[in-house]
Amino acid sequence: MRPIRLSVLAEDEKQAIHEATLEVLKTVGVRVFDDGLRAVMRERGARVDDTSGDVKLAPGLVQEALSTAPHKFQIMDRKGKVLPIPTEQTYICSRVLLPKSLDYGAPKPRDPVLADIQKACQIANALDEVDVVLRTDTPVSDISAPPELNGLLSIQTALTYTYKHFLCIPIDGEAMKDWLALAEAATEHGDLSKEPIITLEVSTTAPLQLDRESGRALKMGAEKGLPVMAMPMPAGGGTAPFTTAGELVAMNAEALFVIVAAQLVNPGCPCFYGGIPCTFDQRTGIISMSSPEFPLMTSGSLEMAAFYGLPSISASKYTDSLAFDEQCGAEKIMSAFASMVSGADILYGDGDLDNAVVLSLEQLIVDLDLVLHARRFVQGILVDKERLAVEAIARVGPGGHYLEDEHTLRHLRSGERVSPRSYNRLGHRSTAKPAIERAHDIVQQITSKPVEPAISAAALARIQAAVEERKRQIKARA
Amino acid sequence: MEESFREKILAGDRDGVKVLTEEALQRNVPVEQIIHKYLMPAMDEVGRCFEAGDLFISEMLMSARAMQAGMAVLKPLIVGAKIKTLGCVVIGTVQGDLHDIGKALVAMMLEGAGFEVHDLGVDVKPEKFVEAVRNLQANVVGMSALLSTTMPNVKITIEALKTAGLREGLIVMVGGAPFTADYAASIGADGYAEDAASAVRRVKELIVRR
Repeated sequence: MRPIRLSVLAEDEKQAIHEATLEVLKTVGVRVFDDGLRAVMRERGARVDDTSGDVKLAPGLVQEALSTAPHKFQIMDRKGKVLPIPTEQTYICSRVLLPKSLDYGAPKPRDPVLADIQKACQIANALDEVDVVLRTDTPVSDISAPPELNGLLSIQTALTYTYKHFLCIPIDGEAMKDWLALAEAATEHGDLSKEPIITLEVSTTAPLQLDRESGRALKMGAEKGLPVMAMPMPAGGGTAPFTTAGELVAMNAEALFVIVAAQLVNPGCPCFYGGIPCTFDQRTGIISMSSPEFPLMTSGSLEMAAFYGLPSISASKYTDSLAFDEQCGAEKIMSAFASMVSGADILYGDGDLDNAVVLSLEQLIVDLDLVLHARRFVQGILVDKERLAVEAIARVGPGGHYLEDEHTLRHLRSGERVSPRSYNRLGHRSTAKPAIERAHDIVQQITSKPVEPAISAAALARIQAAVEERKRQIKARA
Repeated sequence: MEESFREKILAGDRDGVKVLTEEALQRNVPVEQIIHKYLMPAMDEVGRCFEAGDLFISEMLMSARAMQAGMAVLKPLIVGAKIKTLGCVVIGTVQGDLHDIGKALVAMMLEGAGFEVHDLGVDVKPEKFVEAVRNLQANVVGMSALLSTTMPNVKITIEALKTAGLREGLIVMVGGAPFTADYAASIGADGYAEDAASAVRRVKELIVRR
């Protein structure tokens, strides 16, 4: 089908944002706290002030670096499935860990445990529409090991119980080492550039800063040839300009900086363009990841990605709501729709509540349905002789029905019509349930099955060996 | 005159408040009266308007700056007259963490509420907190962290303050997205706030109790 695309920026507006961005990168730059990354960038042409840490990029350097960023590449899962990038049908990402977990019916969230990761992995494995999974670096409360090993063991669990491609967000350089060690062990041949089973997310700290640990992780990941996704998170009116155009410039500058840095470290390193355009809420002082401007600026930033010919990731479907309610639904569907209609290659954010602090498995199911709902619109209407259905209309004639017609049967499972599994389509009937209850039934159905590793015994053994080696390294460093 | 101060502060008119303060001094209005009858009540009104949703944060900060413009005129006279501020606050984002805006907002609102505030910035080592608390004889130390990896540095800084013999009598406030009241209590903090406005209220409560 022909995807529907929506444009929020005219060509001259995109050009203006680009030129404003170049001006910012040339005259203001980004403050880079990692000495190693600054040194590489200086060596490769950036203007570096080691006193302030400010790194400025001349327009020519930006253009040259962008010319080496591939427009096409691929990522993989660990069953050998290749996900070509870019893609017309947005890939969907589900989460496996957030700082808090919300059990169905619980009055408030709790600290996450290993079983939460396992269940979220089960759901990701069970649902075909999930292409990619995401793990946020956060302590898991029932890992009985020293704190410095918490992340390592939680990554091991995640890599054990799902085979799908991982978007990883290492909190620091040591976490990046954990990811690299275990992900390399998880591949057949130990070369992540040839078997890209993880993608590294790098976030700047607005305004215009790349902290030491993020810089370290970026350098390590780019050196290994990992796909890198640039994910700035400015907040308009607080850490970025108040105007939406100004916030797009600030976000574009930070996204391009990360991508240029990755290219300077390793020309040809695959990169995704991303961004989370937040708003500093002027009534509460809270940074909102789901303001009405969020979907608008998300669309704008995805158009900038296309302007540069770069693949894109949209972090969306956030909500400021604490619960599955009207606010949650409204915020999530708006940002899902904006992301898909603006052509994001990967869409992440399923299962979040409360500004991506809380993971709810029931919300995960409903969010996947929101995505299906939005995606169906974007897929558009395919018009051809077969689908115009004149023969079927003539066959059924006045007063007939199409239930058993061959045309209906031919297209029944073609994707022409989708039926979100959690949505209530029973109206007021006695068996009708609200979506969140239906979602809970689905969660129960999937997670009531025994939890089993999703990878081979050989891969398990390699990962275990890598964990033991990392433990030795961490102990030696202490 | 009270109404004029109220209008200028609500409007965030720094120059206007400076001129009014100078005029008040020329009319021999006592310094304490200027502070407690004109400037502080106007800021209380700003606070009420903000809580009611009639003012945005940026407007409230402009009002605070306008009030500080008046205080700047009075400062040499305050020192001479030994008029106290509500307290001395040292505030910063802990080591390894660059997140600034939440902490900066708390600092600005504390200043607007009448505290003397020293903002140490971001990525502040424990020893720098210790040095500032000691040198400034601070009553309150505020620490912010936004990452699960930097949260432990809050506890480390509290321990450093204890080791330096500065913990007794010092109010320790913590805040940032990953914090909860329970966690704050477990690491030995005296107070925790979810947002800037409640941080100011909490600090005031704790100061009064001491």
